[in-house]
Amino acid sequence: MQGSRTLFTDAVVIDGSGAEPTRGDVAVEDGKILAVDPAGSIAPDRFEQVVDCEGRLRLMPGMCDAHTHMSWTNGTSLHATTDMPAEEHLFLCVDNAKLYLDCGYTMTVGAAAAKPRLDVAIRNAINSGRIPGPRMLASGMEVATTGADVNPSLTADGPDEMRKLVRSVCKLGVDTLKLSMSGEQITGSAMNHETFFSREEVRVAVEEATRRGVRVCAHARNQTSIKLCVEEGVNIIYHASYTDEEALDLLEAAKDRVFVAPGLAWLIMTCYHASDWGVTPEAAAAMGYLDELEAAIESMKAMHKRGIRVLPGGDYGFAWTPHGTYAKDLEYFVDLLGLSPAETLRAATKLGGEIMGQPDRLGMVRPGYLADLLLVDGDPLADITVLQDRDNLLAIMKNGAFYKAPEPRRAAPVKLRATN
Amino acid sequence: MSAIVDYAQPSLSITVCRTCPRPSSPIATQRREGASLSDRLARELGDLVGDQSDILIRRVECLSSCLHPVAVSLRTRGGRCVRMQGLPQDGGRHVLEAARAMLAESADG
Repeated sequence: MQGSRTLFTDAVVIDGSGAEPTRGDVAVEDGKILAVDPAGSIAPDRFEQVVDCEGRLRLMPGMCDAHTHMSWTNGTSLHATTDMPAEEHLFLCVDNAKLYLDCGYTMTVGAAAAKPRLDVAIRNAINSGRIPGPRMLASGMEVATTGADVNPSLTADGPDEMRKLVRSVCKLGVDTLKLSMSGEQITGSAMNHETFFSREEVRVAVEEATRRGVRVCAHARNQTSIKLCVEEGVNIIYHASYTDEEALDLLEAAKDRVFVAPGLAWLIMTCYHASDWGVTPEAAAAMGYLDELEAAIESMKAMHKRGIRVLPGGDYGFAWTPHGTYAKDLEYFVDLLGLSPAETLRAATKLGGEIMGQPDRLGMVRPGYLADLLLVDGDPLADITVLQDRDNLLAIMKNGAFYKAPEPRRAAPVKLRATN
Repeated sequence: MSAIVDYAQPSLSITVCRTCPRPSSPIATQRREGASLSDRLARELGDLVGDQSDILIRRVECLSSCLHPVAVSLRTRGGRCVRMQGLPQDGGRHVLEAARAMLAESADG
């Protein structure tokens, strides 16, 4: 549903580009940003709602979680993701979709679903206006080789099986197809330095998915799997923890078509905050997670330096990376990767629009862009953690309509304001 | 137009976990009372702190103490961080006591 005409007056506008914020008015009409006026001279008369930002409230684009598992259940193991009966599982996904919006995330990139059509059903329900939720790229179940599944997955062995499976998954209506290229230490069997798919299998997957307008993403933790992904046209690489010069060179050469989302929260929380579920820091280190975290930090720093697009998105939805904590990733980007808060917000907004496939419509506060906006009490450029507290999000707008409306004292009908 | 407002950095932030337990956690059904305990503690802290400008109260979704609600973390501007868990609903004054001690310590250098 598109919103009415709204004018934000005297806002501090963080436009998502990484540029210094500016003060001014932002006009919204027919779901889009009509104008951004630094002079603050837009006449309020034609707007149904005027929001006074008092020269201090920040207006910024809605954010993107580039590694979303909408159907993960905050469970204590990888295989717990599918244990929930389908009926309850659907309700949980509805809750999670709302939670993403509550937390200021208006864009999510599906990185595998727990059941074949959960993401698709939720995306369709959001798009039809039945339930609130972010703009969503829906994914299907992860695709792995036999014996190398990280999460409960569909399996394909050899190019012919891959071709058939990809065609089946695409027919469900997904936007992304996830390949389980490498392992995961916590499985105890399929490890992060192992690469399971052959070049031919990856090539066929990309070929078939691309033919159907579906983008391929991949769980790829090691150098070999990263190189295979880049060379064969995988669009979104998750984790990419272990790199070498060759992998970085390939990523840099493909930086206009490849995105990387490291999923830092999973590594950090597994290393340091999973004791309540039996994964002590000692156990995490013994599994190799501390080593991977350190490697991932160095890899992401190198990628950022080379201009490779690295986006937040922390693999949320496990017991120690629960849904709703999405904005922790922004803090990690600042504290661990050394990005400035402005660069981090750019990664979460402008680059979010790019990974969603709508670089000219999503992720920025610019005329012509879709009006997905956050009104923030606090300055995320001074303290990125203000975005972790959803009480600081005074208003959340999607497609020009308020999902969370500002308090009445900030949003006055234009007639009241005009008489002042 | 005047210059953009600079937000003063608080000397200490108190972060209260809002989801002990998280709604979708299997633990939730056993400990559903926890969420309201968190709400009450946050409210009490807000009342106690009032307009004290050097203490900021913030609520987040999780502080990784899900089995021991309610959880609170205290962080000074210098980066020192203490996490308290298993707090009672009227534990606000204890949290504030710890916060003041941390502030005094950081002021002493």
